[in-house]
Amino acid sequence: MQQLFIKKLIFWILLSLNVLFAFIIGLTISSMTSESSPFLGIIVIPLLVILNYIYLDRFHFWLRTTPKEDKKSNKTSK
Amino acid sequence: MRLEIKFRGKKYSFSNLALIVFPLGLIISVPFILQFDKTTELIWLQELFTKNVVFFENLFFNLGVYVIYNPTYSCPWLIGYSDNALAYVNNGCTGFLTMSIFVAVIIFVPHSQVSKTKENILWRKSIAIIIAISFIYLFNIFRLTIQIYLYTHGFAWSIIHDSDEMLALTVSFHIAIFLLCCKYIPELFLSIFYSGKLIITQLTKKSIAETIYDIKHRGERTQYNKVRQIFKDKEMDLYLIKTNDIDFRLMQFLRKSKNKYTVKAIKDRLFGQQENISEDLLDKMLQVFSDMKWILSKELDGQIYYYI
Repeated sequence: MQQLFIKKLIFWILLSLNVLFAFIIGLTISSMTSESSPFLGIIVIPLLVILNYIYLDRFHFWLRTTPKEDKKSNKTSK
Repeated sequence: MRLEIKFRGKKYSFSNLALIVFPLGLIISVPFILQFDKTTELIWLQELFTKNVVFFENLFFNLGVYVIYNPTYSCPWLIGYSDNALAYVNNGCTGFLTMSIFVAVIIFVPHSQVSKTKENILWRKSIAIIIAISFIYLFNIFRLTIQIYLYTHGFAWSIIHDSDEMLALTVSFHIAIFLLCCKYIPELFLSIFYSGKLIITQLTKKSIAETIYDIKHRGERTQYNKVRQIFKDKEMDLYLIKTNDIDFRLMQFLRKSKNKYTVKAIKDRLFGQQENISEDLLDKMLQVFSDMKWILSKELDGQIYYYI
């Protein structure tokens, strides 16, 4: 369970980082001067959405593998 | 039976389709990327890049470098030096082309068919893409920062920017980034190695088959056809024999091992995991080979042993 908690924490940090990225992108666009500045958001925000899905996929992978590891560690401790 | 290769204790196996899509995808996508890079100026990226370079230039060297925006130019973002010299920033400076090619390569890399090495491929590919993009972007920022610093200190632009030495340095850095990406997706070079091994295996298999054919049949094709006919007469599954190369594998096994084996031992050693190939079929085939005097047989303690 401790392993799962650490992984949950990492997952939370990753999602927070993504929100922070989105905030930085918004802030950058507003401070850009060229006319094509919205393209930054148009290109990078979909990439962030994809990254969010990849985080989710990773968390699903952790969920699938962690209980097995716990069982293994229980067996070895016995 | 699919070919498997081991790397760092993990098994890798690739589908033929993915091995074809990898080079084919690159052949198709790279010209598109090149064309896009030539025809489209990514002004938003150039703006970010120019401002980053100017920021680091003034932070590290305090040169008083400034940004100029002139929308009448095709590359509107310029870096102004203290002596009123200007340098324009285009797609090549930002490293957009290399980033795109790296991303295309990483996307088209085939993933393993073995479940253990397949399951976190999306995560590993994403990390490799993030590393490639960020490292190439940072490398280009620091490259231009140092180049402008050297230029303001009297070095010729043709040496610090356009020379072969600079090109060699840039290529070396990109190779280093590529190798770093390979740490996360070893499939990149493993798939190339796998393709080579697959081709060699197929070629060797064919040549061994031909050698055995020459040795055992002595160029007499009629004898070989006779065996096939006997198989057919005994109602053996010729399709199963052909698709699994059972006759060839039996001959090769007995020839290489040079020991005596029972049918059960041969089945366990050669076709242990293939349930569709029964002991009965192998027994019938070995008897045919024995009758044709391709192999020898000996009865010991009520069991028949086959050997060459």
